[in-house]
Amino acid sequence: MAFPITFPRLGWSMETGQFVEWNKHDGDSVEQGEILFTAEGDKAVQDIESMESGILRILPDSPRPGEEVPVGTVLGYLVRADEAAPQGAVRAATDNDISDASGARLSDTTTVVALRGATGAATADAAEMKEGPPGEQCKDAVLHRQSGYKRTPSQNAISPRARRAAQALNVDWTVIKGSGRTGRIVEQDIIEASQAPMAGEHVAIANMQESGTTPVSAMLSSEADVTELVEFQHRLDLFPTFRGETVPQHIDFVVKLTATALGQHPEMNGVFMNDTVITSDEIHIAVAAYTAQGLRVPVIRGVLLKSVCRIADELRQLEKRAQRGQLDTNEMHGATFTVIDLGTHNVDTFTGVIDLSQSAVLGLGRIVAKPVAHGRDIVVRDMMSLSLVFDQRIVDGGHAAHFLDTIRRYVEQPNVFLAI
Amino acid sequence: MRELTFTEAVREALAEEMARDPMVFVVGEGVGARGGNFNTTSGLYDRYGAMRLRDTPISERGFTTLCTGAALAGARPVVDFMMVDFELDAMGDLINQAAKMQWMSNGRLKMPLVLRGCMGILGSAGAHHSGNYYPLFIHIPGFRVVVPTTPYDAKGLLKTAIRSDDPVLFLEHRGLLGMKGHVPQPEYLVPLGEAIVRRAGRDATVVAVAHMVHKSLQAAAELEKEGVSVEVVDPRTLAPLDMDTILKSVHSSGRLLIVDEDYAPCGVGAEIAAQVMERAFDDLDAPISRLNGAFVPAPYSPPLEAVVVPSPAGIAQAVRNLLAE
Repeated sequence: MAFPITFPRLGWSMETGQFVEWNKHDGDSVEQGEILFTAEGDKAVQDIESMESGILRILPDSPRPGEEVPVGTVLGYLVRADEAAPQGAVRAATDNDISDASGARLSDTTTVVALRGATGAATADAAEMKEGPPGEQCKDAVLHRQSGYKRTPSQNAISPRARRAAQALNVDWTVIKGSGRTGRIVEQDIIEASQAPMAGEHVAIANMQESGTTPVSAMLSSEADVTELVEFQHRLDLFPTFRGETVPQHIDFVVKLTATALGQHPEMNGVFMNDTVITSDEIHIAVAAYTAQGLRVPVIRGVLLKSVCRIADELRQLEKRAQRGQLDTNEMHGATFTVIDLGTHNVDTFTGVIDLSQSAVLGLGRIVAKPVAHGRDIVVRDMMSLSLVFDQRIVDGGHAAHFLDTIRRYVEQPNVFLAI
Repeated sequence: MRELTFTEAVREALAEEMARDPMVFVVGEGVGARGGNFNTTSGLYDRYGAMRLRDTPISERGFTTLCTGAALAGARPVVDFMMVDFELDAMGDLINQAAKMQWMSNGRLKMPLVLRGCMGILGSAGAHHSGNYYPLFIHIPGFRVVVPTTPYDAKGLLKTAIRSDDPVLFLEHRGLLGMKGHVPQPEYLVPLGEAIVRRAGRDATVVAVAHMVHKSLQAAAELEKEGVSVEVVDPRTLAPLDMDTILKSVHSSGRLLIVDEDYAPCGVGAEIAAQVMERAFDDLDAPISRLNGAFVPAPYSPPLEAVVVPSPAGIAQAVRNLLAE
């Protein structure tokens, strides 16, 4: 390891000094602490000790006696016996070189100004500081608000949230006037521009009306024996402190079981966009509900990753907010499948309208106790009709029928299929 | 319902932890027979004596460093520094030793050091007795910083702080010391790093620090009359900061105001604003707003002191401005 020998800073403000003479010769062995050379600063001549031991190698172009030398200049190296000195012209040491004088110096005037502004405290260059009356210093110290910089807007500004809403609601924001303080377009402007009391409804219905003409829809129906599901749900109802959470209703079970079924039938979780079918890995289910303001379709995201209890919790909260017209745009978008429970309105089957972004909709009828045949006997069971409306461009009838049957099987044995 | 003052709740926490663990001891000026300048240790000296309630000279650097060493040796010292302004004297030890020791020993040494005392501007305490300074500690790796706002949280958080193996700054705002609140009898802990929503709302999110939580709640009550619904989030711990609660709230409201008595530059508000901008840019419907104490040393004169700190009216106006953005 070669140790550079640098011309030292002998005074606080010293920048150059005079190299007087070497005390050792090139090739001499030097012990730590021995005098290496003599240097002259502003005030005095000083013998410079060696910080290390080694063989002295004086650089060929190192200063002559009497020469003016900048502080930090490398004069030579101390090396081990088997080592060669680094080649290189005499140069000022950088911060990386080992120096035997103290380092940092507060000479940058911009730093001084900043310090003065922020703290008003004295710095090393106190003589340079102008003292102002205390009030002025306080004013300097107030940051950012006093700055004169003003951004010139190139076009109407829009908040990130509003931009996202515009995309979701298909609104061209470049033609909207903003109500924000700087003329900025905010979320409310987008909602109003989509010209509906609740933008979500507008888009949902528009999408659904369009889907009456574009997808090729077909409907399949089936009936599920939900006696076990009803019993399971009742048992939960009776269960004391049910984690203090909402007790799941049958819709919550069906949503989870539908998601499980979609996992087995990924082609049903697809989207038809620009003449191609895109199947989604993630399962987000929209659960349609009729409210005072109309049809609302809040979305439960990532259904497969959520327990039935969590789905119940989320859905109750979303339903409550849907009733109050408080759903925000991202709670109504992104679904890969829709479930609609019409049982609450005593309806059995329905020919749903498919959302443009999905390939199928599942309708649940009411749960009715009916006499059904078990073998050759008649028993009374709780039955629920299932209607599947699907887009024939994406899914053929066979697959859809298979999917509906899967849902029926799952719904009929929730104990088994919730464990998947 | 059992009501205690903030000071009583913290004292109860300290008493319980001292009873539970003989390695817990308190060091500071007047913590012995005097019971603490702000009654932080009243009654404890009679029970535990001078071994565990140690009076010190006015030498914050000395007794803090002493406690740093004690913590390394296996004790659980509580430094009662009275006011955070005084503890600045020990910054060299705190930053270079206490904060770094666990890293520098590769985890072999722990630093179960609690530094507790009061902070905040109130009652004409003047420029040297009104400090907040918590950003200094939040900024250094190794520290935990806790700013409880209710007697319930104060008790639970001090117990957690004493049981923690990290150096914890436990800062009690002057304006809260006499506040009364419900403190249950059975033992409980409040975890570090968890914020709490003090008031739910939809139009704007206000994150407030320490005493500002109560002022923000007053402002929110006023704004309710104007039909404005404000959500008030109380971080309770500043390091580590519970950003999830804040992000969830901003996701819902789209507008954020941070209210902090301490100065704006590089403060809690600046940190929260940067993180919200980084992680929830698309949730924002307006620029993030900060309301801080005036960037001056705290005045002694009562009318001047009153205007350098955010008031409920000032906070309400800041929310209105935010909604008009």
